[in-house]
Amino acid sequence: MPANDTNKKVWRLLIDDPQDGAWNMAVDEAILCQRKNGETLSTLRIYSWQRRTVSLGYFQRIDKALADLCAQNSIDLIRRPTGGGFVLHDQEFTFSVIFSRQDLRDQHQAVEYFRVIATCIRKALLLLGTTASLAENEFNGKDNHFFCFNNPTKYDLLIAGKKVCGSAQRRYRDIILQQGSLILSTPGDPAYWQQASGLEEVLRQKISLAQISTAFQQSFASELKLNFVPGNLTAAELLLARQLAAEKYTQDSWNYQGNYQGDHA
Amino acid sequence: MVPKDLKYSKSHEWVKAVGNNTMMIGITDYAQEELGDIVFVELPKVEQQLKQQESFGVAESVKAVSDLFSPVSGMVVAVNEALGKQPELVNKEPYTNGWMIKISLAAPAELSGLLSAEDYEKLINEGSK
Repeated sequence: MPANDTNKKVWRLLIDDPQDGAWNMAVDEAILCQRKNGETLSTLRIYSWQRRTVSLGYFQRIDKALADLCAQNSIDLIRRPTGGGFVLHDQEFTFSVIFSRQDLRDQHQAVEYFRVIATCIRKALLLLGTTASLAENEFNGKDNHFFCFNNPTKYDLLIAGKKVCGSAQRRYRDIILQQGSLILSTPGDPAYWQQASGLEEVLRQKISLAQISTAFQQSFASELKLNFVPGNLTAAELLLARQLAAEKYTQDSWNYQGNYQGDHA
Repeated sequence: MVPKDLKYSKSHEWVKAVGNNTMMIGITDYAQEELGDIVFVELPKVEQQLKQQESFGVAESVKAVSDLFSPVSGMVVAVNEALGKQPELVNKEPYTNGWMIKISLAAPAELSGLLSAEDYEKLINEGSK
């Protein structure tokens, strides 16, 4: 994967150490903001969580039962900047992709950007030894309390009919932030995982995050015809992420209400 | 179909004069089709000041939250409360019952920078080629 092929687009590859939910969300939003200002590269970010965390979609409401369940099981709660349903971040590979519509072939139906990214992930799964398909179910997001992995919807990745990878987006004009989770195993309450499956369960072997990371880099590079350069957050991204973590993603006014009006965009 | 009596922004919002210096704002049929089925809409509070091209709210469609942008500057004087329970109005009737906000115009000169129906139609036809 040479980084000096001048005919290809250059994206940044960001691999982060485990962090808490507030920092993870703040970094994704900071990159989105800087990307829309044209001050950073399109980015594939790979990250993980210091503690088990439930993330909520932008418009989801927390009911008492979920809040109590998280508190009793020492699970953190965070609200994402993206749409979609509840996700338990536990045994998974987590990633985000921040890109411009111009990076990809322009799609009139915005949902088609999910398909383009799903095609990259399907290829990564193939490199890891399994064949996945893209879900075709239309989305019905009016149920405000749905669990992401109990609702396979259009362009989620399925293996043998079970969802292994789900995504959600935030769009700011031509810039898109897509956050995704690839499930490795399905611990705990089986009710939560009725429609889901873990990659390690499918492959019947342990698989390291580094292996998945390499497969993602290769598949994104070949499918989107780009080169990755390993990088870090810029100083401006770091500053904005600190501000967003402090003023938004650690605040109950954001995580528990979803009506936060601050606009760092 | 692009209604002839409205003005348009390049970012696919429409503006309609509805009274003394008051403009009604929504997103176009092209924009709603691009977004897909809208399931939630969050709008600003009345009296909020908006600058031209500033985000005034968000809409969720198909697991994606998209920012909405004001084509003109001014103060929000009304929001379409009906979208709280019926966000699908944006898809079904984008130019009428799917309106989003009304703004008291701060800089009337901004209107001259918006597109006519004919020019907007050209824009979307070029974009879809």
